[in-house]
Amino acid sequence: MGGMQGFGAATWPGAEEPWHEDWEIRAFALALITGVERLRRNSSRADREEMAPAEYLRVGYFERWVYSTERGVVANGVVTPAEIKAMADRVAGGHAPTPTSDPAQAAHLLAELRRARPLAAAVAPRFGPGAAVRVRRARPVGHNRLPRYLRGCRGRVERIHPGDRVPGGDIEAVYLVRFASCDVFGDDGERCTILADLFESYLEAA
Amino acid sequence: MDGVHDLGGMQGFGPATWPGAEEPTHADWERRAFVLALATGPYSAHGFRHTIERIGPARYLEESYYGKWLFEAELALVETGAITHAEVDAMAARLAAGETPQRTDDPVAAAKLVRALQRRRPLRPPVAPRFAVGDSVRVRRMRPFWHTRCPRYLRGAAGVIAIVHGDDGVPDVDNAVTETVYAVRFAARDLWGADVGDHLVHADLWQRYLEPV
Repeated sequence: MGGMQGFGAATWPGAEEPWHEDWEIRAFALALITGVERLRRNSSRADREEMAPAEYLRVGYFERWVYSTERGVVANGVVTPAEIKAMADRVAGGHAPTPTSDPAQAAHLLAELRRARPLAAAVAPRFGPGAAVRVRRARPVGHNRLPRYLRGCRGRVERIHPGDRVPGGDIEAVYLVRFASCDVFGDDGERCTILADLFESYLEAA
Repeated sequence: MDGVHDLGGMQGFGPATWPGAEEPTHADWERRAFVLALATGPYSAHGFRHTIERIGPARYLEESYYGKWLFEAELALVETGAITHAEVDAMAARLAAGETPQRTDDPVAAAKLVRALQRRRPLRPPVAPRFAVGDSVRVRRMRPFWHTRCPRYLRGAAGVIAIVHGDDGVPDVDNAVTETVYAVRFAARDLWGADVGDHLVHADLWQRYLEPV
């Protein structure tokens, strides 16, 4: 949605709260636990991006997490769609689900969340600070971190970050790239500077 | 406006066509929605599209084609003060309760509408075209706040003038402002990178969307 219009305010009173309903906390924990315990495949963002577009826009943030968690555990064969539907029907029919408490699992999850995961050292970065770069035009399949509104735009390397794994690929250098708004959105609207973190394979020399 | 309606170049929306998609309408109400939108004009193609683009993004994607036309007709009539949303809601409630809507026949209005639809509106010959066939151009980067016919996926892309069509009203401003419209040819790889193949993309673009390369 970067650079698009018509979606309303980006923030609103109460938006700074991490969640707004109790079920959202459980959805969040469920997504994390199924990930840490390797009960689902690790492709949450790609899964969420496969939601039907109207549904993606209509549902809330944590409903998307529920969607990707469900798809992930089904893909791993941990539960079947029929089991999910059967439980949803029982809950809709008034069944109160049994709360399960597993302190060891909770402790394991917390330990995993607190484990520092330092980024890898920058791998022989191709571009130096100040280098003029252009964002590649692309038609990627699967999840990517290359916003459409920057494709084809010229910018300058502001900083070289440590390396990280590009979605669907290997460890690469990551750059903070600076763009003038006129090189992205033309002369319409207020002038500003746009900073974006971009993987090296998204960039070419300009 | 760079809203959710500008689907060109996007993925994940399913097939562009399906069995039966070639039929102009799929339900009786769609024909009435079409006529309602046309008859309640004044029909201004660009204002019409801008109104449709103001549908909330999720609803825009969920609504059928003629559902959007109906939204446009209602909002345009509300904004000119002809009706209120409350009146529409009240009538919807009466219909839902089983009331049969009153049928109105106005042969004069119908004949006028048909004549307006049948009137040919040829493009005017180009008065002062800035570009000629074969010229290299680049699509301007922009952040349009009203209706535009310049798709996002072409912004910043380089292409070649293939046809000088003629002069037409500028969607981004007003039909009264005219300028030359061109068919511009792009290599798909200049839009989406080297791995998309060798095909060409042609787009009709107004002169103000283009700059010389």
